[in-house]
Amino acid sequence: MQDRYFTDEELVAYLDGEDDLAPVADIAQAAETDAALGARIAALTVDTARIAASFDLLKADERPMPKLPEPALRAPKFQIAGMALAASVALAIGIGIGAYSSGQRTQGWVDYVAAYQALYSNSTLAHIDQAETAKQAELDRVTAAIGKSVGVGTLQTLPEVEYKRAQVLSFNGRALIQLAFLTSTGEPVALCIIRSNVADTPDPALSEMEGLSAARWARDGYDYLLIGGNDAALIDRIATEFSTAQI
Amino acid sequence: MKLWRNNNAQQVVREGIPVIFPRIWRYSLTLTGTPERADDLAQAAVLRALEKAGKFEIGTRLDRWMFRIAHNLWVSEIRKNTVRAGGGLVAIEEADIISPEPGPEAVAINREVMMAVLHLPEAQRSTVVLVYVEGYSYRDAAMILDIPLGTVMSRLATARATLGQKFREEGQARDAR
Repeated sequence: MQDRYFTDEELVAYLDGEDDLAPVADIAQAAETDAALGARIAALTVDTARIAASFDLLKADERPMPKLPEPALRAPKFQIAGMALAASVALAIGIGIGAYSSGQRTQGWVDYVAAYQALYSNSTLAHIDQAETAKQAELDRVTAAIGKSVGVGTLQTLPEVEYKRAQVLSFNGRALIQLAFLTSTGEPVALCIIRSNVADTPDPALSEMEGLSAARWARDGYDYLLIGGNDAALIDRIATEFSTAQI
Repeated sequence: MKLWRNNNAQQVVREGIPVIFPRIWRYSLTLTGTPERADDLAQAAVLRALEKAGKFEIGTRLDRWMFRIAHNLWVSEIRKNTVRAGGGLVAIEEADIISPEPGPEAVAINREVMMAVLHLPEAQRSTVVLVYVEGYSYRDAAMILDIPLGTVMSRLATARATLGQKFREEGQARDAR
């Protein structure tokens, strides 16, 4: 009864050709004479090629890939310039390009958010039903990530939108928060906020991104993007309300 | 030189994503149970990969790195909402995944095989898919799932015993028809 020396894990590793994880030669030899071991191996045998082939049914190759956000311009020029020029000149160029690339990075986060929001549907949010205290606790935790404090009441002043949840995301290592809403017609809308050093532009600027209505404004060291649905007038109303409330 | 390396890594990740995406989506489906939720998870994994691209080590396997990202996202952020929505379980229904059109016998058998895998408990399901569908070694699967090698082996042993019995019973039922 040699088979008691081989665990099921070893037999499976043997079957899968993971030779360094099982005493392959010993198992093969024992299986020739030990019927009980042979039966155990048979019980663990499955057609793994068939399993692999069966997943072709999912037709994963036909699934459309989301459009990748455009890459933000980086600052390799700063490296080259820094090596080629005298330190003072390099510093000046560095500051200039640094300011430029900082603007590009700011633009970059908006593209990411838009691409992410384009995948939201009603069912992404419809099931979320949190009590007021839970909403506030979540909001406290999330807004703290960017050094803000937002009362759940200030997000619920408009009858057209229901506040659903808050999440901390990250862009290039910087915290980015997303406050998610559903409109009365069931469209998902998100308010995203990131710390920024751009100049204040408290009047929301409307645009369309990824086929969604969007509004953007900046205030007191934060950059805001409200995005979702196709009702530009609604997005404008919500954005104006939120900007005025200095969320 | 760090910036140069980061930019190169960015490019490698960006160019690799379209090739790997179908596999990430397929794995996302095996975790989430519906094409729509798989879209969400795969998209989130792509965005996270682009965001962390500077940390990707050129010369290592991009696909394995992205599978790990997708799995981490599922475990740390997305599963709890999905489970909450499903009343505690991520139920995987055949009708949500593949069209119910009748096909030849071989297709019918493949459907049974795939659904048997998808109906395994999540821990076994993800391990079986990584090793037998995606072709990862036990060590790669352990790295993607962030679990000990022995756990990969025990999950596969349990899954193989379940699947082996199920396939034999279904085979006998077919032979009897």
